[in-house]
Amino acid sequence: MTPPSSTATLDDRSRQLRHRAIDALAGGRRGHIGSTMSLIEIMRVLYDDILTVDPADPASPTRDRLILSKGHGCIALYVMLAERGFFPTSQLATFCRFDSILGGHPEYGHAPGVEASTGSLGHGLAVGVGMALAARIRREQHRVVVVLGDGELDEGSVWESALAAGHHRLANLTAVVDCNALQSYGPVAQVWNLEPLTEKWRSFGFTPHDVDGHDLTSLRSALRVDPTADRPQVVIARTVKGRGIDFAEHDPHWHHKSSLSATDVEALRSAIDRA
Amino acid sequence: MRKAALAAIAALVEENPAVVFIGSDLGAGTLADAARRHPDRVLMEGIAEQHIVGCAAGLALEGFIPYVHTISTFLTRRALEQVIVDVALHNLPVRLVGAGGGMVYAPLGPTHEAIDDFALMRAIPGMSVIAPADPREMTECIRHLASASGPAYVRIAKGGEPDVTGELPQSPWGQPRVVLTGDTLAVLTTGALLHECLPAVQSARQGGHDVGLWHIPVLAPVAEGSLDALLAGRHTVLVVEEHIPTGGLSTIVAEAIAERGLPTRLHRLTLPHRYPEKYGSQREHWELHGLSAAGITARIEAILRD
Repeated sequence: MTPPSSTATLDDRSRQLRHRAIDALAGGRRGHIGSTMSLIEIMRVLYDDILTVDPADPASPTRDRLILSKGHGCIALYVMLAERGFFPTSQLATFCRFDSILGGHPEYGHAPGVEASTGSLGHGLAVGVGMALAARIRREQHRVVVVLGDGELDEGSVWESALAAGHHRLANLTAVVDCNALQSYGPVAQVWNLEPLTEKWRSFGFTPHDVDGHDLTSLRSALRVDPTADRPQVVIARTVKGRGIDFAEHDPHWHHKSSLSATDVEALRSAIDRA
Repeated sequence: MRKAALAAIAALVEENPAVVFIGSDLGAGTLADAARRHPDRVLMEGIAEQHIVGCAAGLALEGFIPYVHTISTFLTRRALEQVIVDVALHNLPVRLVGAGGGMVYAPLGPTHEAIDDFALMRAIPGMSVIAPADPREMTECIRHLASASGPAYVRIAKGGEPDVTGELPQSPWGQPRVVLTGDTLAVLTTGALLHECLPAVQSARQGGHDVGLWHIPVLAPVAEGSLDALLAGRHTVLVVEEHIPTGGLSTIVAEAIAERGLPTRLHRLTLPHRYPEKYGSQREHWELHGLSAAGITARIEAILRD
């Protein structure tokens, strides 16, 4: 296991992306703060460096597909989709509002670039397996990436799909687990211990990569296409819940917040500037 | 009827490169020939109904038309959230083809008895709910669904039904089917019980009563205006269905009567609203609850005496 770099300084882009996330949190006055902040570097690397997507042709058959199975981390997805030009960054401030395209969980057909509606946990990997099988049937070369949470792995359906992906040796499928070690109630290790996690995934037929989920170089290396792969990949990304906001890090009370005040938002922004 | 469904799906796999079949640990040898010929599109998956429904949604998002087949209760109960979130919320053309509709699996007990499938599926926006009455209609249904939009649930009833729908007047897909016209009492049914209703209605007619019979294969969406035409001027209607009284055909007809403010008297002959406690055969349960031809005859006679 690679320990996450909670003490390392964030670079300018990681701070900027977190400020964009705060735009959404401030606009909706609510959101899954901790779950979003742990995801930022994962989503940054995927959309900046890994995925082939085209906002001018969001349904291009050759695009890579990403499903955010931990849908409650949607602000991190929205930030990157806005950054890539799928919709204006000004939309972020409409998060969760009545007429917004950006709901509290991502919805297919609402926000451009969202490949599948999620929200109830344990759904995304099955849909991703279907997409990966579709690509195999048509001999298409694109990738399917499914991002899950570690708490989400409590859902039995995840493991049904992991069995299927391993059985079919879906080398075009990559699962990324945002292991921020906290679920809503408290530490994952105390609610339901998942370890040894890499061994679990390996035994299901995946090639695991256990990395620091805030380290850009490690993430890029783990997520890069391996042309020799003959089985699905899983990136176990060890992260810090609330990363970049010192008073929220490792604190399950920051899993989700509602009724955020202007003072709260200011405190969040100040913390990011310090990080 | 199951053989007809599988044969129709196998033919579609052969004809249409967009059609995919997904089974969940089916009987040994099921669709073996199709699986040999098209191993990439005939997927024999494990005992994982949540997964296969989500997987079907993923395939459908990519433009495929998946036919998912296993025992009805496992699709409609076990995978209900996947049906709602992955399939219906995305309005995808996933076809849920459930075996053992109603009391087919009576000897296996209540975990296998699809007595609430219409209610569960009909509650889902956009879901078509279809109960063919014989192999001919099943084949027509499976083929129709290859080009229809949106999700669908198909109830497979018992096996070995004679083909009767071929002799009925042709009607556009989704419309109630007139089996016998009659004004004194209209009997409405769906699925396999058409074969029990038919001799019961014929018996009443031989007794000089003007009793009609309609088969309603598509319970959702109800074809626009079709119930208006069927219920207009009716004094008495009897709905016969192999389903609990909540959420199935009898509820559809009750809602239609109430919404239109009709003076029509509704009688319902259904399974009770409880989990079956006996085993035996489907027919024994039909007889217990008055759903066999003799039971339906008795109910019709009682209504006519009223």
